[in-house]
Amino acid sequence: MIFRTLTKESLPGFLDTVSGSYRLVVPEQKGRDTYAFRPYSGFHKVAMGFLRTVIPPKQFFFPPREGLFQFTTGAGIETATDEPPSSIIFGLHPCDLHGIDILDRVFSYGERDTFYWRRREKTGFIGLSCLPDKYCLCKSMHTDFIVDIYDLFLYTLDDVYMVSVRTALGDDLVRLRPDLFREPTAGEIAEYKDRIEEREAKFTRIMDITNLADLLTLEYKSDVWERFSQRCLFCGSCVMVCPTCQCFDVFDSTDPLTNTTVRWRRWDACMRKDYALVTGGHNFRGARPERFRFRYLHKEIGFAEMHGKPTCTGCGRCSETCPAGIDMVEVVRSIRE
Amino acid sequence: MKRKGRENVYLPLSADVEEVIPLTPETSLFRVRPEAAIEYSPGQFFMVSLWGAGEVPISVASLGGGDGPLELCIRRAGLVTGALHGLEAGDTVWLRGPYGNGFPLDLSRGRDVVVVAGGIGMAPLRPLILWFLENPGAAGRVTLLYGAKRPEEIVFREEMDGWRERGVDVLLTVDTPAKGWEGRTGLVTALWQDVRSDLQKAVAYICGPDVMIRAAMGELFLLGMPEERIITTLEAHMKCGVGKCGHCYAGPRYICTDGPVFSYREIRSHSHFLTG
Repeated sequence: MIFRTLTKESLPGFLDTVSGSYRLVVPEQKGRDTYAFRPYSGFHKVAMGFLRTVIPPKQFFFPPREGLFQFTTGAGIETATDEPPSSIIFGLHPCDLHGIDILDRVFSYGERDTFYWRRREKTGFIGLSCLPDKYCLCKSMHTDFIVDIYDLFLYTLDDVYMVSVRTALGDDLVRLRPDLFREPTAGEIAEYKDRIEEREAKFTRIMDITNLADLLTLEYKSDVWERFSQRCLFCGSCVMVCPTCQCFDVFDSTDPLTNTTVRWRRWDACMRKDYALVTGGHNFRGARPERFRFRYLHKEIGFAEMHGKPTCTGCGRCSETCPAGIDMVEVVRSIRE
Repeated sequence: MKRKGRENVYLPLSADVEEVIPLTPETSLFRVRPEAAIEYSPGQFFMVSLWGAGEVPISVASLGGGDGPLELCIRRAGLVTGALHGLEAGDTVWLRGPYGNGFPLDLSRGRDVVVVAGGIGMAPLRPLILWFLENPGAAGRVTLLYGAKRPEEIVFREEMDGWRERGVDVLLTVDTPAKGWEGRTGLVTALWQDVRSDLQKAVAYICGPDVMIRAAMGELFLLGMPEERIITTLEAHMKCGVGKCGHCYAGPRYICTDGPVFSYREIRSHSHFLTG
């Protein structure tokens, strides 16, 4: 890893150049307070101050709905063989980079997931520093900083970006415009250090996850689950916007005119009533509190036991999105009380 | 177990349906021949599909290893299994696998074996019994305790007579007897005292409905069978079979890749293993 600096005036030129060599994806403002990752269409559209997109970057490797195979009697099975374009996603905050790390673990557990990796392998990441809002829980989840996954990471200072160049791909990007990058000065390094402390001070809301896995287990039969499941609509919005929720359903649909069947996969949610239903009618998690509870148990315990860390990245999307106003901080606080 | 030249983990192979043998009014044995030979072992499963209907996990009911067809014992119970039941000899079915860990076969060497099955739970245990029959020395005395709701729902009933002739103690019980039923009535877990083996020294392989598995594992443990020799195979809602879709998460494991075969020791400490 090496550090370079890039002046703020140079960023548009840099992104223009990157977009000439890669499919560049950037955050754009959509509604009043909503953002989305979109193909780059000029720097004036890039929402540099954005905090979180509604849909996390998982959509680029694991689309909401994807045709895996197409089958026609006679023609047999067809699957996408086109080479996905080499892509760069710009503007990923540490939480979303941590989310990609989690998905990488899931989709390479045992056998690698063909459809995820064919796009993921062709994608590089330019991280971007951020300042927290009231939903951000990365500090609490220890995902406010990241040392891997990204290729370049831009830390915003007053006049320049302090750029961490982590990988060969990151170096390739810098070499596209070597004229724009230079060694950081002692003053810039001092400013970088000051910014760390300033950012720390801005985390106003903390979710206390001390011994959380144990507390969730001890409170397995708590009425907290019943209480929240009365409010929960089981709409699955929290799952859709979660950067690490990766469950999917697989189903076929047949076009009656062409007699062509497409085998799809689409995002699924453990909140759904028939998620754990098996043929014959047995449902391993039919009751509402069981379904509500499972998401917390899986994220904080089950996954952590399997892969070494909990899956919540503290991005705040679920709390911001929930139509019933269920906030993870409130759930965890109720468990602690 | 390696599937050569198959880069895409979700790509199914075609298999010709050679024969469909009705076993009960709702259950048939499908003998299929995959386009390429597949190695598999007892306790593993395949994702079986028909284009347009979908994919479901089905445990393998044949022993494999020879030139014989791959056998799948399927109960007509849902959308996909309903469509599968429309198949006839000459039709095509699609499958990918085998998946899962399979039964630990070494565990029974030099030990008596108790196979405990309920209903369609006999399907994954059948290749295990065939393994013991074809490999003398693989186990001591083999006892099968099999329970079904009604006599006509007993699968592999004629085949069981053959197993009996080859030395397997076959004890059948039903919930609801019919006219002419001479076997036992009641739960399969009421048959422990009829097992002519020392349960404390034996190995148990169990498959059936969730409640039956729980009861059988717990009772065998209380009867002194060591927990690492009480083996079961679990079912779950599955969409991928390769540890990705999330549906079969059970505590810190996937039933599809870490199982579906588990010992009581592996799952006992997770009091809510099956409910997450």
